[in-house]
Amino acid sequence: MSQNDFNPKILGFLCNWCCYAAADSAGVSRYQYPPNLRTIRVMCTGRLDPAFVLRGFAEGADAIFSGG
Amino acid sequence: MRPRYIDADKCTACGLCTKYCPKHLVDPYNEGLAVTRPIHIDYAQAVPATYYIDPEACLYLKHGTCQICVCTCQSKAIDFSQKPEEKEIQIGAVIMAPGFGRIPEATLAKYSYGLHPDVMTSLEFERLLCASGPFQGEVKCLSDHRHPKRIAFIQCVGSRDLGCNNGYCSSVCCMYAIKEAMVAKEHDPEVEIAIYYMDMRTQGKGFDAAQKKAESMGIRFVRARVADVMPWEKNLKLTYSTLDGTHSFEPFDIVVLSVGLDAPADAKNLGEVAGFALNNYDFCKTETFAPLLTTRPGVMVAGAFQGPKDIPESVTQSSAAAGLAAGLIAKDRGKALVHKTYPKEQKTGKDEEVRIGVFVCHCGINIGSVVDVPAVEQYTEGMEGVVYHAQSMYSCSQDAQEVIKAKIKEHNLNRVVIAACSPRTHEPLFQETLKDAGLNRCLFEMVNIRDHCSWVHANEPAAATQKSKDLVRMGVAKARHIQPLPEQTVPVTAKALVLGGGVAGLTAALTLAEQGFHTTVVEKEATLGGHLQHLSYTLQGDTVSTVLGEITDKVKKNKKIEVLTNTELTQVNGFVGNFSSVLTTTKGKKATETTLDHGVIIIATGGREHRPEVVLGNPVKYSDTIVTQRELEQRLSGKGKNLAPKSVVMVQCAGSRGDDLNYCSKVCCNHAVKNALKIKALDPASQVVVLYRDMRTYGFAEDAYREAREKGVVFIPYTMDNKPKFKSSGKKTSVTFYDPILRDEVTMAPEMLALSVGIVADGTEDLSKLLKIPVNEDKFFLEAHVKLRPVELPVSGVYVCGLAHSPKPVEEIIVQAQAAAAKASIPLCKGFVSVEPTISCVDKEACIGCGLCESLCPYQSIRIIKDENGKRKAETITASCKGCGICASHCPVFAISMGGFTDEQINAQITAFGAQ
Amino acid sequence: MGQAKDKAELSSLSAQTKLMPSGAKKSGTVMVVGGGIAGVQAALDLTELGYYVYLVEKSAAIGGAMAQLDKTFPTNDCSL
Repeated sequence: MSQNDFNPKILGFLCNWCCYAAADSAGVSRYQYPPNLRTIRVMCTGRLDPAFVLRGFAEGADAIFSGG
Repeated sequence: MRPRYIDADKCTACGLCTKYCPKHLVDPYNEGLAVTRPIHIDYAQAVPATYYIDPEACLYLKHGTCQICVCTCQSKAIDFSQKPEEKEIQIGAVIMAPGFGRIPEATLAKYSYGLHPDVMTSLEFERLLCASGPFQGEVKCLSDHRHPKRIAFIQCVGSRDLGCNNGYCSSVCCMYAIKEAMVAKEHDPEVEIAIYYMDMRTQGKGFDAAQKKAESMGIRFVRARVADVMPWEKNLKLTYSTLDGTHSFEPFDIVVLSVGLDAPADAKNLGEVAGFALNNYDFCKTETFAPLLTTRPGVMVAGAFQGPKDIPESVTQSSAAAGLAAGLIAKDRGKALVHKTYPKEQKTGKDEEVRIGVFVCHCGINIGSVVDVPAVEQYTEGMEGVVYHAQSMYSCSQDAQEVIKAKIKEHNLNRVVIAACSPRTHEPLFQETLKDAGLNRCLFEMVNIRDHCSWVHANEPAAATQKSKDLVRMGVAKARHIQPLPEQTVPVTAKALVLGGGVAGLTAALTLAEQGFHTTVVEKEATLGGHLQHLSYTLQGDTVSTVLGEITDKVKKNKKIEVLTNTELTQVNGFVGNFSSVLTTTKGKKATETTLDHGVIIIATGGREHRPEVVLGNPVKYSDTIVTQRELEQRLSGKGKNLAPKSVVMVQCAGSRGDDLNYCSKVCCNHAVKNALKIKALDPASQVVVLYRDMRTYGFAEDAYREAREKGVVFIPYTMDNKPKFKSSGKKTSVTFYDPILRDEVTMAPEMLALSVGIVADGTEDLSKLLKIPVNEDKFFLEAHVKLRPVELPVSGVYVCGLAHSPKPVEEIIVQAQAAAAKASIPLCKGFVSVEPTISCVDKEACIGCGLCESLCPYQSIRIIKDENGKRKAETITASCKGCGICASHCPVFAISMGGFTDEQINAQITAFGAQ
Repeated sequence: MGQAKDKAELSSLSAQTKLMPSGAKKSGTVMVVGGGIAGVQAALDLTELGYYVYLVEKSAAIGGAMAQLDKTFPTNDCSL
């Protein structure tokens, strides 16, 4: 399998105040990025219980993204 | 009122009209560096988010042709029938905040501005740096689009320049030049940047540190005056002269002119229409001790129109002006407010059947042109809990809201999922709709398939549609677990506690009392007035004792103000709206304690004079002949003969800016100029020499600095590599310093040596522990947000003003005190503090009282209490919880849940993620 | 809550607006002239303090000069 065929499933936890806002503004600016990320909005990445990360992997995520 | 020609209720800000508009228009938002169309919006985040038509450029409005936009607009928002309207309104007070004007281009001509495209103003360069600017943030020469290798900034263009009748300093240019230079350097670390300046005036809180950082990034600061800038082959030639009189020139690719802030172009008209006076520079005329009052009663001023200033100071003035206006018409508070009413909320029980309605939005073509909206809508068919699904063209439009309300009723929906844009911008709107439909506003989930999907995967429609489906599935999964949350409010004790009885505390107390709030002022000394008791006159010529007498009289006469002298705060309990404090009053050896209930705290504890024992490496013994500026002022305003010394050497930054203290104390340069002028007034033959690093007589104080030089005061700069040396023998002190004009060492034996010592924080560390409020490395209180919340502290209900925040002159202290009082009166006048429902909630059964949450909470919003059985249990302090969830994620027994972000909800989202 | 009235032109507006000197009949409303950061902040605070606000701005959007800035000194936070 060449590297280009790898289509990872990424689960992201985005802080409402910064990273989620940044993702919004990436949209407003029409930045194009690969469509592999699925996001969950939280009010702060402090909310991120390690159990969420583990569950994410258990549910088949290839990577977990935490943006805060 | 001028028309927009676009119906704001219908416009969805999709941008299609701009795309189809055939005419070009130079874009003023981008300082003319880009083009837009007559029908446009200035920038994506503009408020109101409604496009508008420039009638001067529109082909239809100008020539009666075109109208392409009318058929392009899908929401039929374009309305050429709109006409200018005149309105008459009755008002109780006016706040003038028209901002600043531009330096005329004629002033910029000697730098080849307008002659060569690579000479630009700082605002143009700012647009160049910006990601939404003409080159998407890439720094390029405007002439040939090459990347610049060398950039120069010229300071004081249109400021400190009588040639263009702007004798004042614009107070912001040094900072923005440093900022722009640093950002340019981040874009391209190879670029060489030089800033040509007279004095670097980075006197604000934390500003010197930023300049040091800029120096460490390799940005060059050159003290010189720039004679001119001329085109030179492909480059620009910048000619400058340094202090020692030598002329040099250097080539640059881009020259940025740090243009100052002029008075607003229509200042004169504004003054005439509203009936207030202007100063000699056409800014609004105000007094030192009433900095925001215009000459017309009822008309306040705020922002750069009061005098050039930066963002935090403008914000502070605005809050202060709002507080003053509120005090003026305190009787009419709430009379004109329009309150909205909602239907009674229907009960949504825990065990009730979940009935979800999903609305998928096209957002015109914003989502619909990329994501297959019908497919996403169909995808929800048969999903657990989903009983209704639909599409809408613009779900945020007024008619779509009505449809949503109708469908909630028709299908008895008790959860609503909207797949559209960002909850950060639109959640409040849809929550209103839910409330209108009688649902708890928290029974709502938003899925962002525009900003996070169609817009960023525009070229991959299949993948974008799949992502939308996944996100909707995750949103629906969360929605199944959403529960209604109560609207929480906490009642407020409508009383204020002000710590400190100096000018800051007294001003704050008066501003609060004028609005009708009972205020207790606590002063640790026996008398009110603080530092002003030791000052005699101001740079503007006010007699301090008279003004201070008036203020203290007003305070003492005001029935709403209680003054406690010889008193200190010794204990604080509670939180915003419900503080309970212990105040200890000491009389002789007897100490009495009183408990006070109050809703807010204003910290105005002040600072004190720094008395360094070593100045610039010289040991100092204060005496009659070696004094601080404050002591010199006391002598100069005394009653004896021969008040003015025959000769004085003043040394600036004595103990400041890296000598002993790391920061600039902001007031010392003005203080030195003030005393120098006083000496010259008493005895014009006196010799006054001021040794300085950067004269920071910012704003209109520049006039006094110029006057001092005209009157023969000699200002000589020194550097930290070549500090002045003092030598004392008996009563005589000699000072040796390097004179860059003579290019030699000079020794003087003045009658007096006056040290411009700084200001240090006083007692902030103790208070910081008591109130759990952070201080910065210089021990001044750290505000909640440096720019936008300059008088609020990170703990809700606690505000700061005066020297406890940072060193500053008296007019700024007064404004800050008024602003702190205005901010503090917000919870007091509301009578309650409302809390977002997204806060933490402790399951007392499950809690084991370990206290981990209490120790981790950054806002001191969760605490351990003893329950009725004497067991340790955690408890959320509703009023100050910010909903970050750190407690919930660390709780070892999962006893804490976050409103709207429960473990159950997030886990459901993760599981739904896996189900793809 | 207060309401923002944009796109009003001061010269036409205030020429006919009767300014109330203190002591005259007041109505619980305040006019803020200028929709830059200073005007917006004043308007926000006034509505929080219980007054109806007319925010008058001559251009099509509020925000003023701050909206044109890329970043702010010294923290280099985004200006918008």
